[in-house]
Amino acid sequence: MSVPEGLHYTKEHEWVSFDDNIATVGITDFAQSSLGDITFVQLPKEGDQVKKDDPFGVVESVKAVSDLYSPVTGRVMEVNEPVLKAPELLNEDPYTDGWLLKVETKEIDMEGLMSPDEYTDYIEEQG
Amino acid sequence: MPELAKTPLHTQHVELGARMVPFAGYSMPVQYSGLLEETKATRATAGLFDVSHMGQFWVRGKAALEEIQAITTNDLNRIQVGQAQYNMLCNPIGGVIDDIIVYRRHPEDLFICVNASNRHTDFDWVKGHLKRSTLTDESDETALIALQGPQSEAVLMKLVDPSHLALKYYWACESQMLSRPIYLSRTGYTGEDGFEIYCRAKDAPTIWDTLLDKGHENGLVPCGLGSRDTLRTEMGYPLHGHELSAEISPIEAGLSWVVKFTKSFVGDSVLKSQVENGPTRILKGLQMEDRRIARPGYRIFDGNSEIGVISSGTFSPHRNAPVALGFVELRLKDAPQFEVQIRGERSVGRTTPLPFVPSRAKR
Repeated sequence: MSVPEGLHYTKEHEWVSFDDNIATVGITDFAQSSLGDITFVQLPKEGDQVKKDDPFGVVESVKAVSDLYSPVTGRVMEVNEPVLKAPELLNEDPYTDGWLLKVETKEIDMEGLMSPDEYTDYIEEQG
Repeated sequence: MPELAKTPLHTQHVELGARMVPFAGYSMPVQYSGLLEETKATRATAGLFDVSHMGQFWVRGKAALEEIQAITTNDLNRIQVGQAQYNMLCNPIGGVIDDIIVYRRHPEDLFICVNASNRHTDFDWVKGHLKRSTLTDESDETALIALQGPQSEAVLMKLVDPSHLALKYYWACESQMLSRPIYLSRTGYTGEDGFEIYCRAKDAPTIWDTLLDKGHENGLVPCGLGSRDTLRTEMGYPLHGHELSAEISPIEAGLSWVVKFTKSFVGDSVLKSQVENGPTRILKGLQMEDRRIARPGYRIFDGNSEIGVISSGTFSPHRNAPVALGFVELRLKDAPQFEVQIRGERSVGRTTPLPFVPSRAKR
C-alpha cells in the first residue's frame, strides 16, 4: 500500500498537502483499494466552503458508497474536473492525477492529521 | 459471531490475493484483480468462480420425482434423465423458500443444488415433505466450480472427454477430470456459455489449479462474488434475499415461466390467482441516467408517490452505466421511467427490457 512522504493523513483515509495556505486534498491508496472500482465521485463546487471533519462529497464504487471528510477548513479554489468525468482516475493514481480539491485555508490546523509513518501503522491495524 | 466456514479452495483464494469477505456463513473471495475487470473477462474470455458454499442434496428412491414435484413450481416431467431444471420451493402463500436447480441425475434419484444461505431451511422443508424418499445433504463433501465465458469450452477441451462437451444448455453428465470423478453441467449464473463442475471437496484444489493453469492462455481469470453479482444483475437473474424471498412470489419476480400448473404443488393456488388477477408488484429493470448506483432498499418514485423499491443494483460495464432491478406497483408496469431516491436526491432510471446484456448461453 503506497503512503507517500510529504502528505498528511486522516483516519477517514484522505490525504492533504499544504503549499502555503493552499491545501490539496485526495483519498489514499488504501481508500481506493478498499473501495474497489470507483464509478462515481461527487464534489463541492468552486467557491463552496468546506469544514474540517465535515463531509464534503461522496465516492462510490460498485461495492460501497463512502462519504469524504475534509481534512481542512476553507474555500474551494479548484475542483479536479477530470476525476468527475473519469472516476477510475482515483483507482489508478490517487495521489497525483486523482487529487480532488484545492482549498484556500486561513490557518494550517494539523490536529488529527497523521504522518506517513503513523498512517502506515494505522492502516496495518485496520487490516 | 460464529467462526466462518471455509470452502475447500480457501488456500487457493488467499494465495491468489483475493479479498475475503463473510458470505452466507463462509469466508468467500469477493474479488481478485478487480470486480469490473473480472466481469469483463468473463464476458470476453472466461472466468473461474468458487461456488462451493452452495448446497447439494440427493433425494433418493422410487418416489423421489413424485414427492419433489409436490413441493416445486416447475414440472420435472418436462425434462429427461440427464437434464437440469431451474425450479423453486414455495411456501403455502406462494413465497419463495429458495430457488434451486434440480438434476435428473439418475433414473430415479434427484440431485439438487441450493443456495448456501438457505441450505438448512431447505433441508428441513424438503425433509418434512418426504414420506417414501430419503434426503441427504452432501454439501460438505461436494465442491462446485463455475467456469463461465466464451472460452469455457476451449479450456475444458484440454481436460475432459471432448464428447462430453456436446452437452446442451441445462444438460449434465458424469465425467472425469484428471482421473477424478466430476459431474459436468452446462449451466451458470452469468448469461455466458459455460459449465458448472461438481467434484469431491478433496479434489477441488487440484481441479481449480489445473483449470487456471490450462486456461491461462485462453484468458481465464479467477473471479469473485462481486463480479458474479454484477454478471447476474446484468442478466436480470434473481438472487434469493433480493428478488426472491419467503415474501416474494416467482410471479412478482417475473419468473412465471418457472411455474407450471400442469400439476399441484405447495403454493399453487396463490400463484394461480396472481397469474389470473395480476400480482400487486412486478420486477423491472432500470438503467440509471447518471453515474450513481441505485442500491437495494432505495425507494422508487413516480412523481411524488413512492411506488417501489430497488432490490439489486450495480455498475454494468456492458452498458457503461449503473443498472438496477426493483419492484414497482403493477399499474406502472409500462412506465418508461422512474425516479430513485439516492442519498436525498432523485436519479432517473429508464425502464429497460431484461436482460441488460443479451444471453449467450448455448441453447
